[in-house]
Amino acid sequence: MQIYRFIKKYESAIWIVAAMLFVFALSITSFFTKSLRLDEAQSIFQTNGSMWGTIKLVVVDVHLPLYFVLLHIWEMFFGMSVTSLRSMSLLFLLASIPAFYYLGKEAYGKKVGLLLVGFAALSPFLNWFGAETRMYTLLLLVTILNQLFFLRLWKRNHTHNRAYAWIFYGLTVVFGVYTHYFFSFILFVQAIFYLIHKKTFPAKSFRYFAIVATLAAGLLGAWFYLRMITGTNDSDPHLVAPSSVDVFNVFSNFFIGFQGNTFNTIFLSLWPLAIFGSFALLSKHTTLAKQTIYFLMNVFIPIALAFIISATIRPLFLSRYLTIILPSIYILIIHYVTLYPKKMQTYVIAGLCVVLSASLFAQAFSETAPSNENFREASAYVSAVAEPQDLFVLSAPFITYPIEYYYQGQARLSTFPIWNRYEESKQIPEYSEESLISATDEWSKTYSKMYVLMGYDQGYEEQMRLYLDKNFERTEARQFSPGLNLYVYKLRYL
Amino acid sequence: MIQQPSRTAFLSTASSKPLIISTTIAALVYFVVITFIFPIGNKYLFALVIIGEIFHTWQALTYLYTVWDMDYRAKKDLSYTPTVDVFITVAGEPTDIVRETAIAARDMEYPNHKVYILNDGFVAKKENWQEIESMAKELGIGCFTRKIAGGAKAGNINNAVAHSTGMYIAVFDADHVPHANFLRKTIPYFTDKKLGFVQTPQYYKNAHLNRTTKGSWEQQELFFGPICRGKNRLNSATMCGTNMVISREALAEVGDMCTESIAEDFATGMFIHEKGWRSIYVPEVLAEGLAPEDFLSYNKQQFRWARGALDIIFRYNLLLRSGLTLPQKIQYLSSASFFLSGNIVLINILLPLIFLYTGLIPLQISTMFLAVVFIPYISLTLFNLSLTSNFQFTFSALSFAIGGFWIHIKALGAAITGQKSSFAITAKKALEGNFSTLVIPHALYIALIIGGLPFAIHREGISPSVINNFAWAIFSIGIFVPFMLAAVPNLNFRSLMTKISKFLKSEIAIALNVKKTIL
Repeated sequence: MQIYRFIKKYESAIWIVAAMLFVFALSITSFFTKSLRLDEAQSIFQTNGSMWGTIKLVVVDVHLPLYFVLLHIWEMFFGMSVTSLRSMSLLFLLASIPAFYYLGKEAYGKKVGLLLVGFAALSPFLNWFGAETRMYTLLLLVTILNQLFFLRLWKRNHTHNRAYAWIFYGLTVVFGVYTHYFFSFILFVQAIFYLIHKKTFPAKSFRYFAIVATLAAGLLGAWFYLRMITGTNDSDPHLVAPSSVDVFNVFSNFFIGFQGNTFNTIFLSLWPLAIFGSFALLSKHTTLAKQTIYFLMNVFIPIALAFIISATIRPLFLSRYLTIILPSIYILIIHYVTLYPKKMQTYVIAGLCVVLSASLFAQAFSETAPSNENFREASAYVSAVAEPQDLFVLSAPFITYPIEYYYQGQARLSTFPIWNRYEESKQIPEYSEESLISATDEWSKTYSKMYVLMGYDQGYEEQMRLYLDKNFERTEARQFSPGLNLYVYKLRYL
Repeated sequence: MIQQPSRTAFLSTASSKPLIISTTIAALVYFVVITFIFPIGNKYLFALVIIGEIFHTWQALTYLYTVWDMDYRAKKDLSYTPTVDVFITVAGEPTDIVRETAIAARDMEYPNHKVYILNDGFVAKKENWQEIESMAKELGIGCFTRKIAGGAKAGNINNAVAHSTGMYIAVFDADHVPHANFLRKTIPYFTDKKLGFVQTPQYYKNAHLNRTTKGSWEQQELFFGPICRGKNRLNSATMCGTNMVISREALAEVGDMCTESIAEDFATGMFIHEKGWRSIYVPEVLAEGLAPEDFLSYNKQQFRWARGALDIIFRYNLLLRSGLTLPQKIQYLSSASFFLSGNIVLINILLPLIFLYTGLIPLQISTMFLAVVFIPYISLTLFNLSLTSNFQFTFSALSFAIGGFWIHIKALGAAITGQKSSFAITAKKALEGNFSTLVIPHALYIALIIGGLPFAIHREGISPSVINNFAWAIFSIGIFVPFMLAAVPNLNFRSLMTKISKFLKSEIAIALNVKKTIL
């Protein structure tokens, strides 16, 4: 009886701790054991020097500095092992779980908060990034806290001590704008929402929001100025302009994580059921609360902005960049599910949990998950079989980051197109068949075998492979993970 | 437990012009893309899809046009109190129900009205016709008992019109109890001498009783909420046959109530408009009636309405009638054509079924391309419906509107073949039992879908097309569910499952015995 009372009293805390333990255990036993991926290796490369060195490398790259600075400090205390590096992201994810609870509770009450915790713990997308040495779980945490304090400022405008909410809101803005560029979309949405519902916000809020906005603009301005005076490089994978399919993929990634093409397409083909779900919501209870409008804006405006920018300025439409909309999507779905009649609620929640769990475990334990990048095994293999007179060529050139983390072989490492990261311009040269001919001619004079590892197709992988197949004898082909292939060619006969 | 509906929330309608414009654009984009841009698959299925889409677009656009502005307010003079005859149409309804209506009508706060019971019990061969006469005498109100049948409800009213003299005529069905202020709220509008009739909502006070009354009323809410309020602006109020006041002069000009059609009210209203009279819809609950309390009565009522509306479309060429304004023509056609929607529902539900069995598709596109144009269109439409109905439009209403597709198809069949349909009064007391035979088409559809799925998987594996078509079928079946449940009010899931498992066990036992015997 006492135990029952204890559980009842600390129901929320127990649920949150259980969810955190689950995420922690799954990360340690599964996600942490996976090979370092390209982006992670890039983070390591950018942060393993001095603090100023880190900033100098980040400023010429595409991202903002907060995460890298934190990672640099983390490395100083906890070392450079993959587990240690990934632990920081896991920490942010674990902190996001109670934050999710408070956000759900603030918006729609305790039930939504608790369900949100369960959703977050089972999310394959979040669990994946909880074990990736990148800024996405930091972005998630900052976004959730930012939304939470924004809602507090708005919803408790007359009854609450606002000073702390303003301070924390301001801090989340400062952290957010230095975590990811897409965080600005959230601020844009908040500005629109504020202008529409200005009367429902606290007195003098315009002044405070203006101060925060000026601060955010100033910080971003300073960063852009630094980028302007230092110049930028172009070493990141080239993305293609997004299509409507990419928009749907964002939603499927948020639910089922990164699954194979067939499964993903089948999942997306179920979209009429989502329409049915919205029809089933039609009831006399279902009005459109202001916070619902706010979350809807937080889903659709950032997607629209990202799509428009990607289509017109530069492609950057990636589901991980849109982590900023994930809390709003989850919260809206859970809120609407709780509006269904009780029985239907149970069935829908159970169904969603089954989908999330199955996807989570597939992603955690399947070797063929498309998000796997098994550079570790590829490096180990080449380390074991390649001789000092051989050459190990990497294409696209930037996969050198994860390979050099693992590679301990005797064959010389090169890239194609040939790229020297330490040269003045630091730009990756364009691919051309002429340069391939000239490089292979040169290599043929010195090396006996060429191990060509191809990953992150930049549009020339097939051309390159065909040329090599035609002009050299291929002795071996091997796949380490989806999209990561090794081809071995004989360059000359002794 | 069925929720007690809010009594007047359906009247607090609102609309957003930017939203209406966005929805219109989304509807047109969807239509154009489906019709002209997507590559055609099977041409016959494509033709069916286009017929369906033309109808959907027509419905969507006319709805948006109707709800564009719902704030029309007519002038009135509260001091205007002309003579009014109050008619209560009766044809065998239970005496206690008629009594309640008669007393309420007699006691209305109005200085100048006479109440008459229009007793058709004799011609309808109902046992209580004399009881009704006695009751009228007892209550001190008039009673016209017809001895010669003809013209159903319209004929009954015309008979009373011939024997009364009031300037205005208020009409109530036997179960529609007027509020004391009914005449105070409606008559003042007749200071406009060209006003032909005033209509008020046909509110069902028993909406909370069971699934049928709930679905039935919630379906009505959309009509008496945003649609009727929007029609007001276009001088196109629909005459509904009860809870209304008609100008005797206007009625005389159109030759009394129309007896040619079983939608006598709808047709009479149209004729009155045609003669240049105006109409007003008063968005206030001023009388309370009874929804059909059982599924059979609901089906009969809907069939009668559908048959009447289709009769209007086929008998009177709405678009070419000279006296009606263009907005009035659109409104009448839009209202009447709603009862064709069942045929479009049939097309929509057949498409996945045909795919499962044959692999034929109307459009050669990936399902995601369809989603790109369909989702914005349907989301905006849904939001518009919710907003304009003050969030009173329910899944139950949708289910009854779509689930009733078979009623519309039968009505269309009857209209095309010229089959006579008599005017039948909706039963005022619930009939007992299950009416599962009325949802056989739905059950058959479910069975065919279940049967078709392995067929399709065998043909092409678990492909996105199979999954998407199956999802569409589930979508339709899910919408049918509340409608189907209303047909079997006594359904007990637990006992049904027990029966099924007993049946399966006995079948297995028999099969095992047969096997043993053979061996």
